[in-house]
Amino acid sequence: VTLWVRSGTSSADPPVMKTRFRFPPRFFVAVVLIFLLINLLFVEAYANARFAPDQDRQPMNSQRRVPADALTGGALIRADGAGHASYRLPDRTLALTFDDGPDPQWTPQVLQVLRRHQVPATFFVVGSQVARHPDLARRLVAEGNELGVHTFTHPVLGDLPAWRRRTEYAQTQMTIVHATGVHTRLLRLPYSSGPDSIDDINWPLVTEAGRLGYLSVFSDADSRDWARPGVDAIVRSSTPADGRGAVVLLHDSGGDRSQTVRALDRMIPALRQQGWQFTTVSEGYRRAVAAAAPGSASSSASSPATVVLPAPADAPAAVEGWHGTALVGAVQAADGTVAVLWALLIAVGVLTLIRTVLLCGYAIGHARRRRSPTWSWGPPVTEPVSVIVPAWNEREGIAGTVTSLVTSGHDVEVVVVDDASTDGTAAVVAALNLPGVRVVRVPWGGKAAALNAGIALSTHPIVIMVDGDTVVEPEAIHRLVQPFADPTVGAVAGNVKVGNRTTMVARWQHIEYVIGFNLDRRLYETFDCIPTVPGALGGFRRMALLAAGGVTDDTLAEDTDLTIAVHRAGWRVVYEESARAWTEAPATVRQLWLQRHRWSYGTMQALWKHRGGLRDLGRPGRFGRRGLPVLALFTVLLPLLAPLVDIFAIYGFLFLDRAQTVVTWLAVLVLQVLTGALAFRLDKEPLRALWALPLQQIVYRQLMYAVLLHSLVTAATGGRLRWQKLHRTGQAAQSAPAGHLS
Amino acid sequence: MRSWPVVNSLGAMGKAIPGESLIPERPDGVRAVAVVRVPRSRAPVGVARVPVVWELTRRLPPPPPPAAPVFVDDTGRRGRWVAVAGAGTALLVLALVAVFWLSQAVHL
Repeated sequence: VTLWVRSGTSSADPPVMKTRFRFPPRFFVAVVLIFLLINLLFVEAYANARFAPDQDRQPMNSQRRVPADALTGGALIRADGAGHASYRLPDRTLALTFDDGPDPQWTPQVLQVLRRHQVPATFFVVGSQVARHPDLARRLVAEGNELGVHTFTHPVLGDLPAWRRRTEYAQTQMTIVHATGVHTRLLRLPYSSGPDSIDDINWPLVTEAGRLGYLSVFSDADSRDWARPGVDAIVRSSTPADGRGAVVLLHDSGGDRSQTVRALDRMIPALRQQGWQFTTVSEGYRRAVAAAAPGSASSSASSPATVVLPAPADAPAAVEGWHGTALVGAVQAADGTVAVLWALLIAVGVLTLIRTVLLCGYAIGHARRRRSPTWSWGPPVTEPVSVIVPAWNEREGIAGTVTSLVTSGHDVEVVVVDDASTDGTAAVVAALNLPGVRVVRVPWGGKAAALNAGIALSTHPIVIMVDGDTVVEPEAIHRLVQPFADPTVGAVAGNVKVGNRTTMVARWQHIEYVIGFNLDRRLYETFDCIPTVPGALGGFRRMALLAAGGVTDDTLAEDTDLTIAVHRAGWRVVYEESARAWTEAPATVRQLWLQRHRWSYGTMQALWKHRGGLRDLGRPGRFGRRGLPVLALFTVLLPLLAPLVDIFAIYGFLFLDRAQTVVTWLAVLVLQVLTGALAFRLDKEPLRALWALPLQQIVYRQLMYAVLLHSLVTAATGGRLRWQKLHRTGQAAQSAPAGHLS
Repeated sequence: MRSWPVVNSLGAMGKAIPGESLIPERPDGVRAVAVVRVPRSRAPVGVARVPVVWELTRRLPPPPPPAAPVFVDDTGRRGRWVAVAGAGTALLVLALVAVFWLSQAVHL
């Protein structure tokens, strides 16, 4: 896998590497967009994660510090630092209250029943729900109902610090003001019921709410509809037994509320017949206060309760309005973003699953066909072939490459094209004094120009291309050319393996190479759309090369570009697994980044360059019809969306069910390990190398995402990508099993 | 003999006035055009089984001016537009995020 450097000029001198660190604007944009995504996910998690419907009630604690008259008094409690007062609705007066909404499914049904019976109600809304459905909140008010605060995320308030509680109230108030333009002074604590259930933890919350200007609303009759006990039970629980006024607790969200709707429809006319009146909580409070003679309410307040409801200690409506707009906008943007990401994640999952099934199925079938005793490409190909080795500063590995070629079991003409190396590459080859080897020095022009020079100067009808950092096995050339017995075959991809498995980065690439060569290429060959004959080891029929127009420097992935051109010239491209070569892979993250940036960007260039293949007809159009869409999907689109797996893994671990998230992540990992194991079995590689696969999920994959994004930005900006010479140590054959290269 | 095809190009022959060929007639009476048609040696060039270093630097024609590779815009116009759009988007995003958190922070 030789890496070339190409400058933006046509100078004959190779470019000089710049090592000065820069922080390009594209990274700034990327960081900001990631920051935005983190914020949106945080808002989404905040608006959702703590939400738990009322059935998750907390156990009751001690009530020693709760005033006795508050426990036995009415459901409406006004308290502040100076005292408290409880009020009960007038006799035969009911205030229907609904918690946890608005809900797009059930709230309209509740409203329909209320409208039919001309009954007002009080809805204690959850702020995050109002932010999601402001239209429902508007409709509630427009139809004569009133709203109360039921916090923003429905948390257990006793577990929260004071600033969080204030935020919960204020944010709900903001969303109500944003949606309806009105304030509310009513508050119902989450998980609350009757005043007799107030405990030592809740009582300070009631007094705190009073200081903030809220009237705490409990209930006199708990329908317990959240338990879905049946319509009869809900009607029974919601009907006060003694004719005293009552606040009735119901729910219009948090689960299936069909029983509540039916119970409501039956309960209202029945109670009306019994002489009950329906009102809102605010109106009931006013009547209760007006009807109560001084001292008749169970009051110990230093100042008597006033008819006027207390004013919540919030910002002016105008300010609160735009604060609410910001909050609602953030919640809706977060909802929308997460919904889109979820949909994409599902698409990624489905595509990945389909791809895995196809890979495994077709790879096994391909391997069985090839290993069948009856399989043959045709008569043995024994004619001499030309081998071109383009080399630019390959001093470390070129001797091994050329030596392995001349000791090959096939008659070869080796042409080493030295692309103006400055490290004495040509001299190294010349010093070997090997028969059948020519060194051609050309002015510096890039890998494509070097390959073209080699093609022009070689003589045989079959041309093999081998990189200067690659060592071939003795039988590799002979095996590589056998498919040319089939006259329709124009190019053959060899099986390239990582030879320097000395670092973790190289080990990860080893896994990737084995999977790529033994699963992907088999599948692609089956569909006649192998996208790349690797530069490290590939064979071409000279006629196919000429028909394809030779090698061009239109793209940075000249091998992919050439392979697609061969396809479009009407030739078949096949894979020969037994033609093995060992190459030196980048051993550091930086080197890997440089290499993959070139590959990724080059593949995009090649796909774009050959987009006209979609309109090709007949056999040459087969690649355009099959290969281009598949490549675009699996080499660009799917990897581009793959980060969603990690994003949602982190999101799920932090904010959702951790066990479920971990199990899902592990299931995906097991699937990958099984896929990898199949590839290793097909390649007869020891499975022990797969131990590095789990670690690959943590660093390597993310690096590949970044490379792909970087390539997309490079393509969008139209900048010239500068190639970098990778550091070579000549260790291409280091990991080859004993005997493979002897 | 080796210089004949070069000196007596067919182009020069085309410009010659009929009857006044620029190609001098050799003593043996064979004109250059006949020399041009003499088949060359079919021995493969440079396939000798010995290493030979060829210095081709001055033999290859100069490379044509490089065409812009796929996606490349050497004018830089597209890059500037993308940069401006990206920076604008980034600043807008930062402003929106800041507005949101400030609007919530005042209620703490």
